[in-house]
Amino acid sequence: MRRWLAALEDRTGAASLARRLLARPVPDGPRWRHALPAALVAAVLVQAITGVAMTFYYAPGATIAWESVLHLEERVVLGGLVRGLHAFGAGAVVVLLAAHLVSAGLSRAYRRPREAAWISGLLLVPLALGFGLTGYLLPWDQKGYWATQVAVGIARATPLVGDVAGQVMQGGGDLGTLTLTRFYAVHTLVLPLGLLVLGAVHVALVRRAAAARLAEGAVAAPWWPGQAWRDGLVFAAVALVVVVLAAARGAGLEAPADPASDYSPRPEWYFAPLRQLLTVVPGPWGSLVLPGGVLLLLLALPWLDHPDRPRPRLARAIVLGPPLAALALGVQAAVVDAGDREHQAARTRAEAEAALARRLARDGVPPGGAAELLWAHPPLRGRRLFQTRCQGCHPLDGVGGEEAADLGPFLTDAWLEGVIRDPRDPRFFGRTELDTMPALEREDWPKLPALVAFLRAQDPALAPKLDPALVAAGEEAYFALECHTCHAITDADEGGALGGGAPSLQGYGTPEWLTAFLRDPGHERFYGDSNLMPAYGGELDDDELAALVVFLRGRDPARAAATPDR
Amino acid sequence: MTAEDTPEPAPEQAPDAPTTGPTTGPTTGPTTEPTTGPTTGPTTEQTTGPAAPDPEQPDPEQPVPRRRFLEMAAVCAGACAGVGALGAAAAAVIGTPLRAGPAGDLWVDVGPLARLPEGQPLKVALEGERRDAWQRLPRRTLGNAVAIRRGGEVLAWSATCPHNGCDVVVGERDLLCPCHVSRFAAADGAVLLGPSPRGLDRLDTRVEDGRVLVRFQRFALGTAERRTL
Ligand code: FES
Repeated sequence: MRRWLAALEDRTGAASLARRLLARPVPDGPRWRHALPAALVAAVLVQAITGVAMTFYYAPGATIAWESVLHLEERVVLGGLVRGLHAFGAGAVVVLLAAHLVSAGLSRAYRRPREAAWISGLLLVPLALGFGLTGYLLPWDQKGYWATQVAVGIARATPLVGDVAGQVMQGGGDLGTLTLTRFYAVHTLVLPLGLLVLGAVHVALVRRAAAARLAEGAVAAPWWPGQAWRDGLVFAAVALVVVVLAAARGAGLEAPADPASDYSPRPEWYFAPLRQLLTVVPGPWGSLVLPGGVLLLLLALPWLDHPDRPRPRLARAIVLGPPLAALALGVQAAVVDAGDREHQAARTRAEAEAALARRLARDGVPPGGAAELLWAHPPLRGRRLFQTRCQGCHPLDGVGGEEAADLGPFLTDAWLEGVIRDPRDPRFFGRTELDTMPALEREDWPKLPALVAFLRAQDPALAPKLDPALVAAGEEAYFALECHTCHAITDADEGGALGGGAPSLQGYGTPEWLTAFLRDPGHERFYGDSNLMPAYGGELDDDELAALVVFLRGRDPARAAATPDR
Repeated sequence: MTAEDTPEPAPEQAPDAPTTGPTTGPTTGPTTEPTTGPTTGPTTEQTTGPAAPDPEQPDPEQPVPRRRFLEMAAVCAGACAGVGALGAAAAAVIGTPLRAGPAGDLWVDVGPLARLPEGQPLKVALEGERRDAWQRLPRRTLGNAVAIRRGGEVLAWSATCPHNGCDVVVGERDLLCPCHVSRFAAADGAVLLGPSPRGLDRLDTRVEDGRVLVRFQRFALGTAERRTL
């Protein structure tokens, strides 16, 4: 062993190099605050490692980015943890960077001859925020998409250069695949190279200043072991928080970006103060002038608090002011959001949508991406079809045309009861010319629950959940009240008493019944000659009809739950 | 070239020789030889060997000989031109998508005219093909609109609230944006209440063969003046 080491030393000088590094003198001796930059470097290394690991799976592109991230999360061993580490690690880098800057500022590390080191360190802040901004979009989920939409909007609002700046960011007039490819390039190549260069310059300048101080005879102690264990402990503490958060919460993946949705966007938490600032001070003042002014003040600090003309109070205000203001703004943003009912409702919606998207995409996505799956998801597609095809006549919970029955609560107990009790109510057929069906006599109202149960029993999907006794009572009432003379319910019934035009209720509410009805409501099985509704057999194809049927049946939660939607 | 420049600052005046020597000395034939020299073995000896003690041109009167100045200027100009060309090329490459312009007219079929209620605003999804870079994504919802039929004509507004981009919903008497409670008139989309800086954005419509076509467009948010994106 020793021979090997000696040989290695002989050929490479590795051992003596290590010894020199370990014994490297730290000016002022071991200090806790000296551990901040070491922990920062370690945190950046974690970002690099997890980032590289993710590039093994990630693919930029509007129909593939979200899908590749989902694959990473769900199929790759430790994939979710790696993503979580990268996401929370980013926050750790921002926090450590800020803490390092404040501690350097408080110990006057900007004073001559360390101006250049201070400035190079400050320039790392916009670089870190650039990493955050570009990285947030890459999963191409709703939160990244809309946060970037807001960021581009802010850039656009900048006078003069805004429009071009916004377009350069987006890679065109709109957020899309070309935005992703360029954010990806910037996040994984341009910024890391910039960080490497700027970081190296910063470290070199700091080293140079330290060497100068040592030459002047400043007290110093070797890095090993006094500073080493402090460095290690600080990083371990940060790493612990990051690992726990990553394991417990994960990075999160919302539904794929949907430009047509309304989403209540919020940026990543370390951008929250900047966003809140914008609501307090709107326009370029909040987005550009104030943050830029703070950065300029910090950059000018070596000259504002010059050894020849010290202004310690001002210096402390400049160093401590921005982080305290950011903290206050961040807390304010959190409080405002917690009290914002609309935002909370939007969050709930977004979470439901995210769960749906992940469920739909779990066994693979078509070439059009997961957005296509969501688009074709029958309940959602059916609702859109209902809007353009049906709502002109059939209102939905009061909204829409006023020529036919309100289908908001269609097929629910209450709706069925209502129709039987008083079909001429404007909520049902009151607005149509269908007026042959009499209202139910008041003394028969107690039979309503049984009648409804009997009608529900027409749908085999619901049958197991119904009380057989009630259904039997309903059947008896149905025939006793002579419903079957107009509304056939068995193959034996002829229906059509009272002049015909009463739909057969055999299989009422089943997908088969609804599809046949939508295809041709004027068929003699349904309204026959008294039909007023257009036939959709030619207008909608089978997929569309099926989606519409799923939507209609979905008005009744029991039916929606009884049949899977795919 | 740069390698030759680097030693300059330190020995400012006296030992100008190493750089000027070989180039100025033999004017015609060998000029190229020493400059291209370092690539091949034997010529390196020539450049370093005889150049160092070169006694030919000490030139004490001129601190920066004209020749050397020209050389430096040429190098700088060349470097500037190179960097400029690279920068222009990079800008052209990165900026290409900016010239793409709008994705073209997107007329979206929202179904038969007869399906729209007379005088009643209705929210409809605009479904069509989304174009993104090289992709055509046929099954997509582009956005939502509020449409209202007046006889044989249809008026439509983008359902995107001009304030912050939430989707407006059709209320009992007017159109409502739930996010920050902006209200818009159902008749013409004008702001009635709330923070929206302008009324809802009109979309072009036309009726063809009994079907309603709406032209999908998006607008800049948060500005009083209406700008299409
Ligand atoms: S987004 Fe509509 S009012 Fe704010």
